[in-house]
Amino acid sequence: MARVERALSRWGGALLAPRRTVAALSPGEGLRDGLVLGSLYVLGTSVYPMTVAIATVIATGSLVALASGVARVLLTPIVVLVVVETLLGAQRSYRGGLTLLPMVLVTVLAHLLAVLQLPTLARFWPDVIGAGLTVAFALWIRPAIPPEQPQEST
Amino acid sequence: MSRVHTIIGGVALAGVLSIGAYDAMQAAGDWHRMGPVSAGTSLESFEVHRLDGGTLGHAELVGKISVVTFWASWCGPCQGELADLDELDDTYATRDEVQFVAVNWEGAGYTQPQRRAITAGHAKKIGLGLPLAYDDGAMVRALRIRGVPHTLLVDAQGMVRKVYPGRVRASTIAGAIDDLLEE
Repeated sequence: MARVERALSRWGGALLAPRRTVAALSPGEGLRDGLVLGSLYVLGTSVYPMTVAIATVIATGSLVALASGVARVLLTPIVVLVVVETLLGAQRSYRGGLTLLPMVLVTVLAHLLAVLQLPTLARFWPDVIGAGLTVAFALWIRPAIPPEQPQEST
Repeated sequence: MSRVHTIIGGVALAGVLSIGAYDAMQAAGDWHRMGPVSAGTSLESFEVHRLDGGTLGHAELVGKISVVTFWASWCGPCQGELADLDELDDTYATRDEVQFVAVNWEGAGYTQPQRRAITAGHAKKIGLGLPLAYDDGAMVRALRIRGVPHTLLVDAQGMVRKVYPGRVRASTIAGAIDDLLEE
């Protein structure tokens, strides 16, 4: 529970005070943020299309349909994460996962508006804007990320 | 650890989990309608429009092994598939019990004359010799087709035996046709 609370505090802090939050994180904290936030992206935007992909595989036996469905869902966060980690550089890329926050929020919010039948961004625009904000966010917090310390061998 | 930060993070997480749960419920409710119609489905209600103004329906499928492919003029993979099926049509030309039908589904928002013109025009442009038809959306919805190309192999009783969403190799279809011919 403490771990969940720390994650929530980390994400909330990254939204309200990004540089201060990132600078205050301990070295081992939040190393799985990429995996967690990527999973939340899928959960918040792609449950229905993933289910359609699974139903298509069951109906047709086509693994290509499954690969296509999975790729369509996972491609954006993976590509964005690679871009962000490249921008952060080798010594700061360990914080790359946290930068997915804006993308998760924008895409999930756009999806929520669509579900509520309110005006929202069409088609791929939520991903594009979310990715842009993620890149901007990464560049903004980069100066505050301490370089990763190499582990001493014993 | 700031309490405000934790609350903000918690609200964001709750939002994501809520929308995920909602989508999961919707998906569960729609499960039986998801995915294209599968093998074993009868095409009793099958009907598409011929270019000459008539319709091609279940009666025209019964008695023959039919390869029915849905395509669009804007679809890149469809062009290769149509070329392959055109060649297969020539290969099986001497087998009266096998027929190929290429059904254009251009998308929503076209009138019948527009669909007819697009189908005929594009077929002429690429030199397509296959029997042609077009769909106004009724069959695409009934068959739950979500993309093109989409190909069905239908047996002589008008029952779907194979479904190929996306591009499929000519050898795969030929093998499936030969299997049905041997039955």
